[in-house]
Amino acid sequence: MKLLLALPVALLLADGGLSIEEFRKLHGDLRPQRDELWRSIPWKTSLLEARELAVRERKPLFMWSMNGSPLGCG
Amino acid sequence: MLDRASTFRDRAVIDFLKNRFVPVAVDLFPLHRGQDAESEYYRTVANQGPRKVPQNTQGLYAFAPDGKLLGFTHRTHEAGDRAVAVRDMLAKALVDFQPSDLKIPEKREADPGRLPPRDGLVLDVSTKVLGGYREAKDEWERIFQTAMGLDHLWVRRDEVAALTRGSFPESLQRRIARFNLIDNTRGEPPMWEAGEVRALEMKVQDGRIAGKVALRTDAGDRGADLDLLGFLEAKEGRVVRLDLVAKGLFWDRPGSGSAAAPEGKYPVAIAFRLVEGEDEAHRVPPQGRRDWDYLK
Repeated sequence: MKLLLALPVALLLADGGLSIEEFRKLHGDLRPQRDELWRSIPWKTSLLEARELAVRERKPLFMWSMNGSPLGCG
Repeated sequence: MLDRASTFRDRAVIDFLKNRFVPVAVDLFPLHRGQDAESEYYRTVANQGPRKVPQNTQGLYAFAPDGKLLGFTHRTHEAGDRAVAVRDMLAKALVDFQPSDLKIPEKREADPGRLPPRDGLVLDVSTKVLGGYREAKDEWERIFQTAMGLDHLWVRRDEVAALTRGSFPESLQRRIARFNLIDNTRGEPPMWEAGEVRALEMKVQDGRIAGKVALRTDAGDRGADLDLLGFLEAKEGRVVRLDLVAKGLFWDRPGSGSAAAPEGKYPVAIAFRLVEGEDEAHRVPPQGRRDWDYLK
């Protein structure tokens, strides 16, 4: 494996590590919140499925377009 | 991210979108380039806005099913209240909208690259900066500093089979390192190149995953050193638990991203878990899927 500045793998992987307590706290704290208000909007992720629904329900469409999915990235 | 924490917390905007519109959220990247029906439809709508493909067409659009644009806004937070601008745009679009009996072609083309691997797994990935920021100068900077980055991880069928046997395939380790061990809390950072994974070690023993990862650009101006701990459980040939946390120090080039990263090395944690329940957002491909060798 190519190494930066000729650092040995053993040095890059120096001791440390996560404790189970840290794991539990961080895994709980970083759970995506399902009750956030933006999630209450019935977002579609397919433009064509959204268009079909809009035709059936005789509604206009609203599109949130981002570089990266607005619902899942960043 | 700003809109998740501002525009789409506005009750009037939410009511409009729940009751009067069909809301859809898309990543413009594949739609700018695709040759499928969905990409062509996107370009029909977006090219009526102020910026045309291949310029950056991100923003908020209201339009009729036939593609006719009814409104557009892409106000920055410096320009005032984003929610007010969206409310005004939605109200005007409803006035201008004329329902029509549009005939939709029944056969839809689906881009297989946007679908998760058959018989694979989808995991939620959440990222948070744990400290190191200067005091926020305004509400918008506070949103960035406290934001949780969201993404997904796809696991191939053969990798799922390996996981059920208690091993952690190297292909999956590399995918996690290159495409998920990133700080995406202020926007979309570049993914790690294969050669930037300087050290990688993830092992499973008695259902416990432990590992370490070192990531560096050649110039050393961007990098991360992380420890990993997690738990893997399989029952009757199915993975029923794949919980993982990576924690460590990141550093980045000054001025990269939508907002400034903390100076020097700063702590970041990234959590992985199997997606739960039915949610349209589970269909969103991982950001790393843009890379042609994502599933290799």
